[in-house]
Amino acid sequence: MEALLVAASNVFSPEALLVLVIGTVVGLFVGALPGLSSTMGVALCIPITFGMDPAIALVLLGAIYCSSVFGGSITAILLRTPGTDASIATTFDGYPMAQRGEGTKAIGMALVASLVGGVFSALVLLFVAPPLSRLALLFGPQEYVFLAIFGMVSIIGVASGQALKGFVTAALGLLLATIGLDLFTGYPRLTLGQDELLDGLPLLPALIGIFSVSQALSLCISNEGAAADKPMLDVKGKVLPEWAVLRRVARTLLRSSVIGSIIGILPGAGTSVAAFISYNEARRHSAHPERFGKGEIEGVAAPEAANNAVTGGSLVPTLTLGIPGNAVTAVFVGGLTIHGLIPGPKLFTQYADVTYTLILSLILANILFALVGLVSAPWISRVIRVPNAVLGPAIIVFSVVGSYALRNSLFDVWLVLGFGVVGFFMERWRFPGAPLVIALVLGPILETNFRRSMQISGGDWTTFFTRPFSLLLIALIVVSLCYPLISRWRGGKRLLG
Amino acid sequence: MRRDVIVAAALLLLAVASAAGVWTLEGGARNFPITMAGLLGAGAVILMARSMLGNPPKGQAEADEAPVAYGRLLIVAAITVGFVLAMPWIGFYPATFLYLAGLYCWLTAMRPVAAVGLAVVLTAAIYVLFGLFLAVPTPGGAIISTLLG
Repeated sequence: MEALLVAASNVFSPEALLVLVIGTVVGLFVGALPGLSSTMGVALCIPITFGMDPAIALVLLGAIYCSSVFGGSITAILLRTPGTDASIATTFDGYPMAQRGEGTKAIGMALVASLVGGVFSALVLLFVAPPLSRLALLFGPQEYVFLAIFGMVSIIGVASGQALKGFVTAALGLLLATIGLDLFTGYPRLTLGQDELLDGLPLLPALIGIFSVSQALSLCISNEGAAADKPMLDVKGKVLPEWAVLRRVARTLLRSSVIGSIIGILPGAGTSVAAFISYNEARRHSAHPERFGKGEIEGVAAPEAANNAVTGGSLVPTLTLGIPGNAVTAVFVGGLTIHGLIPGPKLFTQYADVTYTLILSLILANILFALVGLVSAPWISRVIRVPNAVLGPAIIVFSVVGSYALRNSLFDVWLVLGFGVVGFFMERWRFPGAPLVIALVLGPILETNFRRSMQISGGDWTTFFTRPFSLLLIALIVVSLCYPLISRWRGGKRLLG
Repeated sequence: MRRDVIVAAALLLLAVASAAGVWTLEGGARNFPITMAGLLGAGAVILMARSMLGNPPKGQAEADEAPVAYGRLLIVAAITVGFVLAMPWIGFYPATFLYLAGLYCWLTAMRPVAAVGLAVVLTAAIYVLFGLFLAVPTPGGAIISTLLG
């Protein structure tokens, strides 16, 4: 309770409020610009937070994360150009509404839905994370081994149609995670004689390279942004939806918020998955499913509530267990560690004030982006007319200065560029990037806890199979592995039937 | 799919080289890297076999066909490498200006004066944000320092 009060005073400090506004505006633009993602926005801003107080730094990152998820919906509605994957489902009904002259109504609904989903998930984080962190205090190294494996299995499993490539990139990430001095013996491993690698492969250059530089290279070599050539529909009139409309979609908003929060908590699935599932559920429960895809307002409400509900949910396993469920939260782990905060149960005990500041700032960020979005929607949709070739080089410069600032080392700059080129080709050749970066985070957790378990048990392997939580996690891993096979088998049976 | 075969072969090579690099380590230090190299190698072999023998998954063939402007990419990469190499000599901000001005002149449809003007504005904005506001250290530039005494 005391930590909550400290957090409240932190969040309402002038510095935090200023950072919150900046983060919200930056996030809205990042989300609106096709080619830029939430992950990239958060990764690029981590170096900016170096000199900040950890609580203020997390407020900035949280605000960018929340508002960037919403930012994509404005362009999805007005231009049929989703700024991020999270807003693809919004185009189905948002754009037809805009074509009918109801673009303002659609944006208003997207705003309200995102606000409801975002605040709901922040409350889920506020109420679910602390008890989960207390449970996590009971976990030993054995449980952390299986948690890391569960995280890996989940993220590979959802790499739609690319499970093998997801597996390969995850294995590559786990191998790269072994670079550096072995913590147990002091032997340097795979450092190629580079002193800069003795502490391990730095996470942030890898993240900035894979998610920012790779995208910037794509922007540099693309022809003028397609979005710039599209006709833009006007935003005029009252933005907020009428009370009767809100009452009609209330159930959809609640259902989608629950779906988004649950999907956010599960490792692997992300905002786009939540948006599609919620969209389908809204259509299934609707009295007029035939209207979906033709400009039905519930078709905007469902995906928008769900994709913003993922934000808080996805931070639950990250903050309580240190297990990132998607690429953005892996970047968040990078942001936490550079401020000396190790994700895990200690965030809710030793650093509770900082953690609660983040959670409360998420609630505030959701309210703020709704307000900013209300005023700035017409302007945001114009910003995406910035040509790709102008954005690309600027992002590379930001990435370079950010990576240099990590350790004042040009070596990190070369790492960023190297990972940028690797990320560029990974994307082109359909090798998912998320398993690689999540493996970089989970690799050290997996190895350290595995070896610690073996030391504690005197080399007895049964230590992994005699603890209740370990067995529960093993069951979850088995289910995660078998689920795709079972659903494929059921799908095949249905086809045959 | 030929690309997947090449990527798989490269990954297999990396796995073998990594395993060889830690083979002589003792005290359990090599176990995890070797296991991960083994997983990577196994994945690479399966990927290679699937790419050579199996049908491409739906959508994969189109992805393979998607054209990449390799020439343009190579030039952007070369200019970026030049930018990083120049930083310790002429300093971060002058190098940033030259990099942005050069790329904007080449990549955009802007007139050269507008492109250079935009590069000046962006460099100044980066200086204000990182240099003045955030006090982030940047490479100073040996030549500039020498010239300025």
